[in-house]
Amino acid sequence: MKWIYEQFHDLADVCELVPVPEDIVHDPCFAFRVNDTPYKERPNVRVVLKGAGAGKSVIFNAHADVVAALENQECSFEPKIKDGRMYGRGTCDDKAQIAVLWSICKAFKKLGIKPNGNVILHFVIEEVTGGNGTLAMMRRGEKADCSIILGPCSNNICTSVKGAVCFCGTFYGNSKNNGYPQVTVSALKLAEEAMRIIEEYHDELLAETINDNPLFARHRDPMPVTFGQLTAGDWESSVPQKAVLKGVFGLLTTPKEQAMKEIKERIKTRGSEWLSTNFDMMYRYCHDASIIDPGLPFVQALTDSYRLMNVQSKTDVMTASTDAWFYTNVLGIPGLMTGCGDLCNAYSCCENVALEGLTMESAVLTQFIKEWCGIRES
Amino acid sequence: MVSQEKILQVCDDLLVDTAIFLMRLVQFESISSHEGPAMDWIYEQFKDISDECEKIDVSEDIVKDPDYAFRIDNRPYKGRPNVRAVLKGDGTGKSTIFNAHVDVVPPSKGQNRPFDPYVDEGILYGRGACDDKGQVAILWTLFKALKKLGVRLKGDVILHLVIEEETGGNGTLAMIRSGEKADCCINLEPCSNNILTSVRGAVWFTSTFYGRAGHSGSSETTVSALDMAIEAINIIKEYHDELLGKTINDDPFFSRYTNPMPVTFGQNEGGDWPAMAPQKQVFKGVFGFLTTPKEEVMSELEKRIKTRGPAWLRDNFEISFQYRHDTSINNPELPFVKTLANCYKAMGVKSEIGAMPASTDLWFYTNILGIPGLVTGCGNLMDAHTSKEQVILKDIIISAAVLTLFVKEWCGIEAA
Repeated sequence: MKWIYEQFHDLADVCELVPVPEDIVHDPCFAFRVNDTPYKERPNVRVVLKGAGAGKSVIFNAHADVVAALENQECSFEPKIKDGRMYGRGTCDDKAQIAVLWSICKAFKKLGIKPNGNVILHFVIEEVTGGNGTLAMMRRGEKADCSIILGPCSNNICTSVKGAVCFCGTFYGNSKNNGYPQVTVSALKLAEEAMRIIEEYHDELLAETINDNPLFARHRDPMPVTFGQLTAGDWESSVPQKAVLKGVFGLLTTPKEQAMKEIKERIKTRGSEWLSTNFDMMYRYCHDASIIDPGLPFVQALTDSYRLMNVQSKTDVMTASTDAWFYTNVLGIPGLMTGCGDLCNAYSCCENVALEGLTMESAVLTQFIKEWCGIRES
Repeated sequence: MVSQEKILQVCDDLLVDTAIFLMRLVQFESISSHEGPAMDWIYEQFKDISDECEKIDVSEDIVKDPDYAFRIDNRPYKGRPNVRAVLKGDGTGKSTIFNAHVDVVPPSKGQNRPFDPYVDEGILYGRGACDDKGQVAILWTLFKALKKLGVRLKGDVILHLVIEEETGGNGTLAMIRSGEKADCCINLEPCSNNILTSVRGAVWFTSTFYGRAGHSGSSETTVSALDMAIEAINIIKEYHDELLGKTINDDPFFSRYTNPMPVTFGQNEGGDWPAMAPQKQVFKGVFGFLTTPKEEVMSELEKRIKTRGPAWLRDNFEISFQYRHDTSINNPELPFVKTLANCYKAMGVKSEIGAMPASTDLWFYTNILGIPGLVTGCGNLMDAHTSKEQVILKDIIISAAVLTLFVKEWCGIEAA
């Protein structure tokens, strides 16, 4: 983040390190603490190209944190360029998007132009772990006419962004020597049972809500449930006494509080008797869906910008949960997601982004700023 | 002549000494591959009460033996010998090998004082109390009692006190490869004093499944290794159920159980991030079987995962087998079995002939060396490997008395 601050320092009217207070952990929207690393020394960065006051303003958000590299990932933190693509962890999620914003600022400086409305950049920490960085920015307060959250969207304009709850279930069995299966209760079996119950709830909710918005219905499953981690047992021949299951449950229009309650309730009441009293369920982060009207003027301005730059783009739904809801739902600033790079690359062992796509995205967003904020010569 | 009352009295008198012996033995943190100090101590405890007592080094070459199970870690075998103790007969009687193991499984989560045993109302609690250190204590009491009784044996009583039973029997394997002959073998494990002439086989497996990692939002392009693992678990369960249906009636003792050959998925681990479809999932477990040869089981498990799962699974998994024990089935009408049954009866101990629903080292003696055998012992199998592992001290004494009587009847003795 300090390096990012250095890169934007001379390109903007305002460039500040925004410390994240340690007591963010007590905020009701705080996700979870990954480890004990203090927030001191890990600030967000806020950059502003100041408008003259006459135009409309926009916040762009991009995150600097990444998920860990995979075991077989060749280029994780030593990026390589091959055939016009850059490979490395974070290339599309989300560092290419930061690069897009940097090149816009560079372009403005080079062209000697300024926006008529404020162009505000929020570079944040801890997006992949639930949005604690954006939460901190939001609690400071910010005003704008719209927000654009950048992520690998294949240049689509995602006016609907799914919600999600990230859950961690712990299941307790009754371990005996594997010679007596009829009196043992395997914690792994309990976790499997809970997985089926959660999947069933997912399928019901999908059927109930997929048609709440025409964009959702374009996808077979815009609110997937992912069981990302399962650990159970200590010894090959001992029935597991404890199993821990972590994952993400996607949501469309269902409020997150309802989903959290229902998941717990269903495991309690629809599983076996042992399961009902031998599990804990906690939630690590909870995002509501962010849904805005695709007819809003700023959406139209962005659509026009993509078309003008000859970049294929359509209005769509984002099937991953992001920080968009903080702006739309909490601050009341309508937000959408867009960006270069493909979501199917994010988190993969060969994450990459096409460099040409990056430069085209910069051109599109510069055009958007011209349309939406208006520009003047400096 | 030595009466059974005398035997019982001599063993009874050893209750305190036996308790002290067992408490000390349980204190050794002899998790498999860490048995060295315990074996050194056991050698010291047996050397003055045996006619022969030796530490038998396990050669590092054991890893190349076709029946070697697996290496739990890189700890060398040097310094971790088996112990062989013998009370020699004059050659006119029948001989017996007794086998018990000194290694234990790691403590269970939440187990209070696993290696700091305590006694409460005559029950000793600690890791290995019944599996299998309580059985080692029986053998120590047996030898002490025979010494105290001052008898001359007609047949040899041979003790194999071994390492690495819990991880597949590498200790017993080393003992049998050095050659041993006897008329019968009694393998001591917690059996509630029953006489188990049928012991199921088992293979331990490790399966690794590979997926295609990706963001939770890209469910259509990712392949979850966890989903693949679950598919395989279901395939394995299906094979288990078929095999159970086909073989449960092959032996009348196995058929007394609903499931004498359970499959246990003991460990399961995978995934890097809650919101990321897992790229790799590993599960480890035990697949029990009855009369099916182990080679057939291993081949069939691999084949079924390859052919009965989704297309992705076929080329994106590995399976390997760690320990591999065949079933051991012995004729319950054999004289040594009947002799032991009579000894339990004579000592007023309830005992039935049956099957062991867990795998042990017995098959090394019966299937490889051709020595008929059985499993018996005090303590309850349901306590083994749990956080409440325990043994009733008095039961050790009574078991020792039973085995002393068995030695008298089977091996034959003369008063000195």
